[in-house]
Amino acid sequence: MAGFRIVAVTVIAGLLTVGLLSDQRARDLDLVGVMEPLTTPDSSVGTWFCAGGEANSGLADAGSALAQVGLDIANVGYEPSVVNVTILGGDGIAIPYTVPAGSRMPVALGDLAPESQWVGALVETSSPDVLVEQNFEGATGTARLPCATTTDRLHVVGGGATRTISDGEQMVLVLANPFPGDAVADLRFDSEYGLDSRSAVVVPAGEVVAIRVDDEVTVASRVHVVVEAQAGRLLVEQVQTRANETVNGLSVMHGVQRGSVVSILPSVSSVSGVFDRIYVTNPSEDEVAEVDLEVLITDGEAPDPIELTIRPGRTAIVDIADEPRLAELASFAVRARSLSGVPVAVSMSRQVPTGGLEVPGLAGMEASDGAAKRWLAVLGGNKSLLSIVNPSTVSEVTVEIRVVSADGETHISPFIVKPDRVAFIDVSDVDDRQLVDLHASGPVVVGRENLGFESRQLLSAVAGSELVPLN
Amino acid sequence: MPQGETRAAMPSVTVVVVAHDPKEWFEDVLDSIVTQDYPRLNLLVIDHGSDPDLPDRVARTAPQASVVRAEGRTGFASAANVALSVGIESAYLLVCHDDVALSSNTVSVLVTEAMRSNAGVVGPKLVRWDTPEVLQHVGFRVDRFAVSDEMVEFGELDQSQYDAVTDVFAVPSACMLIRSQLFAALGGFDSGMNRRGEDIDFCWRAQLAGARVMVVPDARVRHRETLADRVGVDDVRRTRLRHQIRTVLVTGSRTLLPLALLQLALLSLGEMLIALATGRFRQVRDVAHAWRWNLLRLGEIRRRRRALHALQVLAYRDLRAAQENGSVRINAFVRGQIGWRQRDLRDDVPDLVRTGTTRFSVLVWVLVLAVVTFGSRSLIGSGVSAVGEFGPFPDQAGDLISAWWSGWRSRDLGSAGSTPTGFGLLGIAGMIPGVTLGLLRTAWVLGPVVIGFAGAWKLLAHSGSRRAQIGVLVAYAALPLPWVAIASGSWSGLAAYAVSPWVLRALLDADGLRGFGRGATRSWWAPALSAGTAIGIVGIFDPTVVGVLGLLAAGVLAGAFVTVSITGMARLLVATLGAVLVAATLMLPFTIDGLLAGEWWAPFSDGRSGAASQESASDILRFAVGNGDPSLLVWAFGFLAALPLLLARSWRFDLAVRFWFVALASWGLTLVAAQGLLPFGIPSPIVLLAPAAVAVAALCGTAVLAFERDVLARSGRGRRALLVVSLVVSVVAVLPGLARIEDGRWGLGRGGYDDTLPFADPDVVGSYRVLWIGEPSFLPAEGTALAGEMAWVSTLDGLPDVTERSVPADRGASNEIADAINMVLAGDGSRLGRVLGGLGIRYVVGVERLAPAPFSDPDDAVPLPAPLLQSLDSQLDLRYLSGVNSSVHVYENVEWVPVRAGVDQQFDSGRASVADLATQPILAAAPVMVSDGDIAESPVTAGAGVFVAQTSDPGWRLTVDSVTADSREAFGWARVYDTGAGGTAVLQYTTPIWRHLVAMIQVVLLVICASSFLRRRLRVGI
Repeated sequence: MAGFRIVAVTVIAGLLTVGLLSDQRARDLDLVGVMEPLTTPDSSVGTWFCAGGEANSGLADAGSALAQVGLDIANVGYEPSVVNVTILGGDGIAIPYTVPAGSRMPVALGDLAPESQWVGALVETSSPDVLVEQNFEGATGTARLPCATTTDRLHVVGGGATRTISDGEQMVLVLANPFPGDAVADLRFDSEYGLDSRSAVVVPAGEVVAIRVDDEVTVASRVHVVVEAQAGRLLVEQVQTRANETVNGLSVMHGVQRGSVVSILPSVSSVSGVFDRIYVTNPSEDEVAEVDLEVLITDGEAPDPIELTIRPGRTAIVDIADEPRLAELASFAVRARSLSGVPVAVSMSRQVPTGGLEVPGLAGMEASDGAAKRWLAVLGGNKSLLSIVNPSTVSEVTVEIRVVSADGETHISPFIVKPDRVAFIDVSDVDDRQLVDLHASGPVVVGRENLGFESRQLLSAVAGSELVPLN
Repeated sequence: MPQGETRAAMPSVTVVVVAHDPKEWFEDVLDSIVTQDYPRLNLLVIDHGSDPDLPDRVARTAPQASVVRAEGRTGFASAANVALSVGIESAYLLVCHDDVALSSNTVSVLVTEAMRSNAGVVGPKLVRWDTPEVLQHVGFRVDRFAVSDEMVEFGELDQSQYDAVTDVFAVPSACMLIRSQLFAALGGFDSGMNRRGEDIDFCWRAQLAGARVMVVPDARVRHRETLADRVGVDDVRRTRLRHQIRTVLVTGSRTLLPLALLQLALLSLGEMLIALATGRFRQVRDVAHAWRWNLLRLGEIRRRRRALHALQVLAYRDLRAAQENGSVRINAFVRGQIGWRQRDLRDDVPDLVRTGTTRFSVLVWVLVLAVVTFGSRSLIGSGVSAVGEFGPFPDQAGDLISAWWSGWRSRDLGSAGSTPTGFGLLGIAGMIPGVTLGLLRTAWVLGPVVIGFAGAWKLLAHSGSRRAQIGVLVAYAALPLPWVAIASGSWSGLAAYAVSPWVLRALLDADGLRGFGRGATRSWWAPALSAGTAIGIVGIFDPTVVGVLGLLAAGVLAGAFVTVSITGMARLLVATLGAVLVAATLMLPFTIDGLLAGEWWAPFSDGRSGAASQESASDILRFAVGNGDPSLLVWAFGFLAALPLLLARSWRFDLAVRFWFVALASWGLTLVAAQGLLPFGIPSPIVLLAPAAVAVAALCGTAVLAFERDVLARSGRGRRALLVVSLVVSVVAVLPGLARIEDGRWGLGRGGYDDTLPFADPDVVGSYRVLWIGEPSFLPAEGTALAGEMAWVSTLDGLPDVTERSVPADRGASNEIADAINMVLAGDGSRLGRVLGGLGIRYVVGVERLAPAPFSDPDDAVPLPAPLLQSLDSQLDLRYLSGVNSSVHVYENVEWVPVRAGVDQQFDSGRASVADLATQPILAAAPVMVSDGDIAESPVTAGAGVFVAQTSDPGWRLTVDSVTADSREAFGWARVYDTGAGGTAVLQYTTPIWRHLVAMIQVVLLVICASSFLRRRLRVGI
């Protein structure tokens, strides 16, 4: 009996112990099988959200407009593609267009919604070879911005200014709601004068609402805005103009959705006469973000990262021109890495004053949070530069570029981008073709810069294949 | 006093032994008589059997005894009456059976008391022959219907608790001292009573004649009580019934007799009805026979009445005061005692030792039920909220029946299948006048708890310890599982709680553990039938519960293995397989559907995918699963459960090991499932933990057994101290259960989603579907596993009623919905609404809590994955309905198409599947034929089409002005009908005849098995 008792007690106690010990390891409870989509524009999604800008209603011409918007729909594929364009701020009816292979097709949004002051668009297509961009033309210049392929509840807009009278700085937030339910958003402003807010901005279903920030925060040299939708989801754009003696231009940027732990600005410059400024916003309400800005260069030894500590809700500004160690680098990329794991929103602006050696103008872009093996881009202006970042720390990638037009395509010789390096490729005047289809052997991040005579554009390319998060 | 004077002062006594072919013990009987210390004793043996050697046997042991043949006499009474005719002159007769052994002073003690009290009839304390420490009789209580009840409990230990001389209504004829004159005056026993009841009748008449009837416990007699073995006839019930009626007829008051007879007739009628309902047809026959037997002897009865009347000196009123109030039989039935003696006689059950009193048991039961009733007061008064698995009932009982009778399930995208038969039976019950569906629903929820209590009570009944039974009952009631199940809206958990003790008991029967219960002598099929029936009965409501059988069997099997019971293991295996077969048979339509369908496992997985969940090992061990966090005091049960493992001996230890392995199997599987280690989904932790709960409760009962038999049987201060500590821990363990009675709802929210969700009226806008996504236990019907802890289900026209809860084995075209959801999860496209619209889905509801705010605790929420919500939010045709409730996310599909829609004939041209609707939506569709039943009707226009967004099935037919419409498949899964020239269209489903036949066969089988199950349970009262 005693023997049986010992055996039984031992077995039972052993099984209980095994059960308790086996439960010590953490369980993976997040097995839904989906991850949050990355916010970098991705042509494979097929749905393009264009927050838009001013329509031509009431305007004599673009010369008096702040940022008059038109669509530029490009098809880099070999087959014609059908797209359905639904005007936000219009009648909501989808209009089908067919975009020929290797071609671009402009759509004047203002003509489709003659009664509206602000218009956006929803473009739907089943072709991953189609990319949709917005062209803006205003009194201070031109701008270009790919339409977004995601929407969000939280957007961060950095680097605005509202010194309207003294510097001609106007800042407008364009809130677009492409969904069938009304959206309600709260806005929090952060400027050198402190914090301010505006609550319950209603963006009706299928409408576009413009908020003049200079009415909310007046005469501020720096304004950062967090737009948080309490109901619904939104698309947020920042329209910024500057018209003073030194800088004249128009930039249009997306608000950074949510923020990310790692993101990349593919093209940053420390060239004399070019003033790049990086904005890193911590949208968290209660966590401090420790952020390193890692410099990725074409070759040689990279400088130490720029270390930032950002309080909750605040924005850190880094003037590249104020960093002497970067002065010798000329062009490079920056990878923002949140060491504390708190997602941060990263964007940049570029100001090039008139009268210098560089093409003057105003531009800006948000950082990319994803890398892909295929990227699409529309070139423009007199000169176009592609910046290709290999975010891998171990693998080099081979990049092939196909430049397309309706009458054919030109291949640029493949080249290699080493790990943690960036490459800058001039694709101007490639047989007068303007559509770029870039393929890489590994995930890369691609940006572009278009230079005109008196304006410049700095923008991300559009991912043409599955995006993978940066790490 | 000189010896001679003593002899002269004592009256003479003749011991009358009625012998009926006695066995080897008879010499002991005679020896106990001849060795009496009473001086003036004669012995008369009346030979009532056929043993030719009896005179010689008597002569060898008692040479002075006389032996008389009872020629032509049948039965004990008639044989004993021979004493009247042989000229006995003694003052007293000591009438004895041939299987009693008297203590040496029995006669002297009885005579002394008879003389001192002037009693006419005196009986000794009867104890068991082989285990004289167990009491057998110390007199009878008798009611006015001549139904007797023991003064002692079955198996009660003799602890001198009955040792006072007492007036009783009757003493057993096994040994009774009777004043000779009284015996002669009354004409002896009633010769018409051959066996059983003659002692009640005699004592009744003796009292009417003015004699006292007493029991003198100082006189102690061992009694074998083995007459039934020798007569070879099992007619206990029949003879007892007819003699009871005869006694009432003979002894009843002239004025009160009609009323007594009427009451007796009603009782008999009730007994027959119950017996009929439980399939005990032999009992019906016996009751009828008892009345017929007496009616045929009315003349004889009348003569005996007259004779008794001449002797009567005691008023009926005074006699009535000595009788029991009410009905002894009903009281005994309530206490579950009916039949134990019969079982004891027939089955030769091993000696069972019971301690404790019936009164205490009743008190505990009353307390437990009072606590449950008080704790459920709000549920009983206000009804059970429609949350989780506590779905609402239809408006009318007939709807339950028609849902069962139909062979079509409307949930998901519709499919051929049977609604669980249990709801059909509930519908039938709802047709009974006075039974409302609300009452039925409350009983449907709370009933399993009480059934579980009853099962727990019976679990250790074989042990013979009433205290152990009480221990199991109280522990089972105090464990948090049933209240967690109620708070979590888990009917399957309650069903598992109800059925687990019954199944465990059946498996223990099959195990045949030596020393416990009936041992290994019983066949395996009876336990298999019991376990299978119990599982089948809950299975016809909710198939997810059937897995409990496997868990319990695995646990008992492992316990048998550890205790090296090879035979037990074999029997267990066979019995378990038998139980599976029985259960599968009782769940016939479901079983057939499962065999025919490919996804046979889906109905058992309760919408779970096998992914990890949040319950830790600690949570599982203390039953902290679902809503409502049990107190940490629940750990006290661990101490109690460990006791039998450390203290128990013999079969009690073996029993404890089995219970422990049942608990381990239950905990283990729950933990493995919670860790996400299973490649498939299994039911909720509440269901999986039911076996552990019953095992822990049984271990508490086994601890009581261990104290009774193994600890307190030995002396020692430490043992007493351990008992005190255990009692204190028991109180601590029970406290959390008591603390839960506060809100009267066991934590269940006061409201459900029925009043919260802003669904459109389908009668106005047309039939639509609602797609629910969330943690499986929060969904209004059993879901289909999605990913992680999420599941989905689609219901027709809003919240489903309870008939749509279970997953049909045939899933129809439900993969269309799964594909659409996977599209969302993959982030493909932003036009989910168009795709869902083609499936008739108008609303998408993400459920994060069991009940809406404020009826649920935000801490109990399981939020939907943010990417899923983000993906839903990003759909261009799903409108988020804000401000509905913080527990849900509701989206309205702005591109929905009614489930029955009038469309253009070519509406699906160029669209091979619903996925194509993302880019080519259905542009025009108007609702027609609004109905959620099997038939719908409305006018249709000529040349149009009727799109029916449900699984294409040949059972559906559309007629337009009684002409069958042509139809074709749409999108690869639905149908579109051609309205032809237009007119009145009728869409109707015809259930296959085989499904009706199977349903009827199932009901018959259920009645047979349930009757058999109840018969076995009620027969022995355990």
